[in-house]
Amino acid sequence: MRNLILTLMIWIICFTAITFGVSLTYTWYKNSGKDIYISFKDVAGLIPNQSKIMYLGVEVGKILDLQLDEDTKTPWVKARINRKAANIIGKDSQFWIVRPELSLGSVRNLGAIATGDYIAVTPVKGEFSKTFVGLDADPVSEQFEDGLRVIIKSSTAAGIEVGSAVLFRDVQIGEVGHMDLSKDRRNVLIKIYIDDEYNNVIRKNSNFANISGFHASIHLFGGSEISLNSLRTLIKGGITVITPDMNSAPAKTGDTFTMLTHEQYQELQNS
Amino acid sequence: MKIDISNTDHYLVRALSFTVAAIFLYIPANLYPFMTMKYAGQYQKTTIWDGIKSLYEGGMWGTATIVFMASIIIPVFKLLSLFFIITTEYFNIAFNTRTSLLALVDFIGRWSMLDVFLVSIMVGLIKFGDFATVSADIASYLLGVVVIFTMLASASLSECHEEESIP
Repeated sequence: MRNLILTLMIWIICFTAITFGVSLTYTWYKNSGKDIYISFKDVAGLIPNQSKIMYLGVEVGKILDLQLDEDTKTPWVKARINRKAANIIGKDSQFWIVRPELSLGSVRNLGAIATGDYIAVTPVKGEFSKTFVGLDADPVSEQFEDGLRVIIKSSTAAGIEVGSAVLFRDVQIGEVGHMDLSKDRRNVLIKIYIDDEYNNVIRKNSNFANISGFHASIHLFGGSEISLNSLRTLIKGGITVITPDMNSAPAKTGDTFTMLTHEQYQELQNS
Repeated sequence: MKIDISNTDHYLVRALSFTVAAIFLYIPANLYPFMTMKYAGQYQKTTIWDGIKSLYEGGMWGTATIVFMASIIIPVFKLLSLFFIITTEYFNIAFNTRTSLLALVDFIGRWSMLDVFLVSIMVGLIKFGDFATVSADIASYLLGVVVIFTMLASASLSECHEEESIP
């Protein structure tokens, strides 16, 4: 009888151990994720096992390792995506590193000073992929994601860069998202992204003018004049929108406008 | 009510429960980190396989082989042998093979604690306060329990074996 009790006790202890082992294995399975590899031009600021992959402030993954590619000498990030979040990563997902930016032109991502740099991701439905190419800069602020996108043809891009403000009555309504030369290389095509909220500001007859920097007209006789728009446009450049007739048909994504020259702009302002 | 079970059956059931429990604990022991290294504010958790890999990549292939033997080959071999012994005991076949295998399992039993020793040595050696510390993690406890369970299983089997060979 004592033998039986001992056997039973051993059996109970072992059963507890088995349950423990199974639950541990299950927890491991649930917490384990899918590994992905992202190549970047520069991974300064990322820390293995500490930096995270975030989407809208929610952690979807963790960076496991940073390594240099043997052939191309570009850095690779090995990251593990949480099992639960794996379905938001598709093969067209974009990854970019979010760093705090504190310059004369803008103050952005200050939260990253405390949390450390992290990788942000755009969710895409689609089949999963293991390797990605990271972006060098953020793909235009997310707030302009759904908004209008129009192209401005200009003879020069002086003072304008990606991220320059688009202003309407000195209120920012969008920003420059992309710049390229036209096919015949005679013009610069500036693609601007308008905030969804201000889509109706852009009409078919809208005019765009470059207000980057400041303009000085110095006359020997008759007085000189210096016009300056704002410090921000002085440093980061800007485009202003003038819509003379708010009843005109609204512009559509893909419409092309021609940038006014400075003389045309002044004429418009004086009229 | 009188339940009549022979002593050998008792020992066999005990050995079987210990072996099965050891297998179920050995699986998470390989998945979870067995050591946490804290170094200059960052901490790194190492699983057994990671440890072997980094030892090998660091050029210490001798140590890597020993750890690989001690924490992967020997436990797996031991668990398989225990199963083999229990099965042959149950069907009462292959008596001689069983005897020598049991002696072998008993002999290597003391060596399978090697990585638990390794962690305890590391924990003892590397203590620089907040700057660098090493601490044992869940998998090392699991491994310790696995070793104890396999030793208990082989002890039960030995008793069973003795009882069988006496008459």
